[in-house]
Amino acid sequence: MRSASLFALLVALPVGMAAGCGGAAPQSGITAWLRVSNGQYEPGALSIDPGMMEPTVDTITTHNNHVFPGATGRSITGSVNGKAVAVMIGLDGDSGHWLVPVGVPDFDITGNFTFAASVSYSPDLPIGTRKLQFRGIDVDGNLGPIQSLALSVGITSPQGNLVVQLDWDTEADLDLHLRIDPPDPAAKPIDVWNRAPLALPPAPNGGTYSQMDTKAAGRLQFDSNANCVIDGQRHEEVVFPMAVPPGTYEVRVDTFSLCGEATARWHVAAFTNPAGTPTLIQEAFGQSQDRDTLAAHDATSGVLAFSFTQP
Amino acid sequence: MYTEHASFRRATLGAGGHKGRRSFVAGLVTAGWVASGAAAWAQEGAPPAKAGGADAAQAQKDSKDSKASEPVTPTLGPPTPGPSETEKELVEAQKKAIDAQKALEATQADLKASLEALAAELGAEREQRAEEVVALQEKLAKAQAALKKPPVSTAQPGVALTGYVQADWRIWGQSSEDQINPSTLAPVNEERFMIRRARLKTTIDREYVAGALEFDGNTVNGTTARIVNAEASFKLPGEEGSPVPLLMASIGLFKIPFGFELLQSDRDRVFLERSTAEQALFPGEYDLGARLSGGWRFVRYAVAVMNGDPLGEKAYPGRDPNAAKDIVGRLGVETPIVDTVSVAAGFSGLTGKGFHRGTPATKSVIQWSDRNEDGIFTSDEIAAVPGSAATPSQNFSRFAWGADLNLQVTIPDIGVATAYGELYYAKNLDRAKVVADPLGPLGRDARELGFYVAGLFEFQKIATVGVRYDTYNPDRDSTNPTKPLIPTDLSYGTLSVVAVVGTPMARLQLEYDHNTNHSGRDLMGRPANLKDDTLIVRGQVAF
Repeated sequence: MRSASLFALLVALPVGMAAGCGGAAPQSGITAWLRVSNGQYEPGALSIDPGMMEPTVDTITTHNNHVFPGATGRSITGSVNGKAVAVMIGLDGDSGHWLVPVGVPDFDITGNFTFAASVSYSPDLPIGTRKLQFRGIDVDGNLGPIQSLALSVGITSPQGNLVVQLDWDTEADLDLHLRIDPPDPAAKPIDVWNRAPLALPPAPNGGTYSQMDTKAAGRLQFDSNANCVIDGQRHEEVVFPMAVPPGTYEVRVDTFSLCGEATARWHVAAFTNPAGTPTLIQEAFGQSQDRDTLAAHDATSGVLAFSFTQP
Repeated sequence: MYTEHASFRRATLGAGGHKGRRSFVAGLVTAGWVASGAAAWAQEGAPPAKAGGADAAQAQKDSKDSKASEPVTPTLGPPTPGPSETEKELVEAQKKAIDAQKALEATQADLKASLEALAAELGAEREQRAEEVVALQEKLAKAQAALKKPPVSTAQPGVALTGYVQADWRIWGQSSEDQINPSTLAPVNEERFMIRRARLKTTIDREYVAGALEFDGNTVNGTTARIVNAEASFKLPGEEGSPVPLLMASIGLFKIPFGFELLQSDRDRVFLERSTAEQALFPGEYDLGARLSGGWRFVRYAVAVMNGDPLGEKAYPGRDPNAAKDIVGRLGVETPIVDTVSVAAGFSGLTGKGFHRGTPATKSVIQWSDRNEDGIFTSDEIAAVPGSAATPSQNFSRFAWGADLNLQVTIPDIGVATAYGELYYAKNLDRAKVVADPLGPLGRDARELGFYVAGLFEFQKIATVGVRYDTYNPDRDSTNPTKPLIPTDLSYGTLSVVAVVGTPMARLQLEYDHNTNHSGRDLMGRPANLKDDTLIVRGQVAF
């Protein structure tokens, strides 16, 4: 009885191991720079060996070959030789590549099949130019020649004469508050926050500002995770596209709610970026705790990160 | 006379019944009989002054007997010649015999009185013993009844059941307020009654096997019941009388073997809670893993492979988001120096991997903000924000070192004085206070440093007073100008003064904590100390 059990174990072990060796890679591919939502991830860079003459990738179509780190839902379509059963897509220098099955027959190129991929780029994708590579693969596993698509990877820092930007790491509701204290002691300070997103003093005589005025004024672009409606942005910024009012600027971070998170680590920075080349003025880091949510959450609430003066 | 002695002896034997007493009485009777016999022999056997032979002696004896038995009557008439020498001697002997008889009777009376007193004494003793026997029989009956129905029955021998309750009354909390936290809707008020810990623990300790199962109930965040300790161990017993095994291999959920106060029992600790550094670096004290521990003579050691996510951690308590395991251990000594002084000291270390949580992908959204506050939508009042790809989770390295020292001095007839302290030095290990994540926005390591020193004095095992100061800095580089952290001084500190009446089995504790922190705000909105002193009374009962 005992020897029979041992025998069964000795038989079952290699069988199980063999079964474990087959199948698709278990990794999700989230660590790769390129992610394909309808593809199967394969660890390892896409092979660049010459391969066979077929199956070929004949056309590649994309709406925009300028991408930014973190870009999502970018559509890439194409046409592949009729022998292909799938298309391998990879980014040069990446840790893995993706396998996308071919789709319906291509009515534009007789005998070909179409393929379509919805791709995203990691927020960690380095800035610069990169090649998006494609290879067809047939039913026997033969790889066709490489086709490449050049991508330009750039940053999307907001441009303006003054930018104050807050970003944080968990799905909490943090708010950027900015107070501008004009040099004129008689003038009232201007508070820029989610309930008064424009960096303009109250219009004189109870009037309203024109669209031109509001477009030229500094403004809070977005209230992220407002009221714990999670949008995943986790950053807010006040951008002054044109003139920057003189005065002392106080930058605060108000923890409206941690939204169930244990903590939120944040980074706030002020920089000038009139032409796409940011110049840092000042920055600070911090961590919001449960206690920080107890404040009144008005214009001057929040911890003072730093202050600076604009002439 | 012999008959009288014999009848008395029978009466004594009949009333007695105890073999020893009977022998003693028989001895006394025999002694009395021998004494009376000797007196009789002395009376009867006195040799004649002048004896011609056996016949003369016999005649003389017969004559003496007849005369002694007949009363002497005075006779009238001519004076008779005076008594002869022989008659005088006879009279003298007779007088002596009478005196001896009287002495014998007196002795007999004394003996009789002694025997009667002895009998009375024996009777009283017998009654007392009978009462004692009855009492013992009653106790035996109770013990047998208890054995028949024990209070807790177990399937195996060597099982112990222990537990304790710590009920707190936070009399005063400086930061308490009759409000709710708008973010979590939790009450801000902390002046309340609370079950801090209610533990029930079952252990089994046999020669080569040990195990523990402990449950905790508390009302810190509402009524909670949870498992805190569950371990199975195999062990090699140590030397005879050694408090720890030579080697014990355990697997399960147990305390992280680091330092002194982390391993100290909550029941025994005089201060209500552990130091701030311990609470930040090892929140919850318990973690899952496997451990080798034991001791030899004065050496103590423990090394464990653990998940690295203690039960009190904020992110993944009791789980393990990464495959990497923490390796943690302590090597120390525990020994008396002299009769009244003992010392315990050790070094601890930890190395492992922390976890930086990734973020999910988001979709593109638009948001309308009524910038001119006219309540009317205009095209310049919307903001479009593109979606973002998910970010992957990552691991980061962390470690900790620790040193602890405990010195205890026993002062005869007064009490025990204890001084102890501990030092923590760590990197990226804060898991509860200011959670360390070098891969977050800060983008650099967080180096933590903390320590505490404490002194206790226990009077006659009845009352204890103590004081402790602890401090903890979760980021020693917070003043780094290239990565300025808000606030720049992140240190926490607590000065605790405690007074205790009773023993860990039943005691009342009163503790005042003076806390310093950076949770408040000054008029400019800069971090400042938030007044947060507390006064807590705790009642503890253990079994």
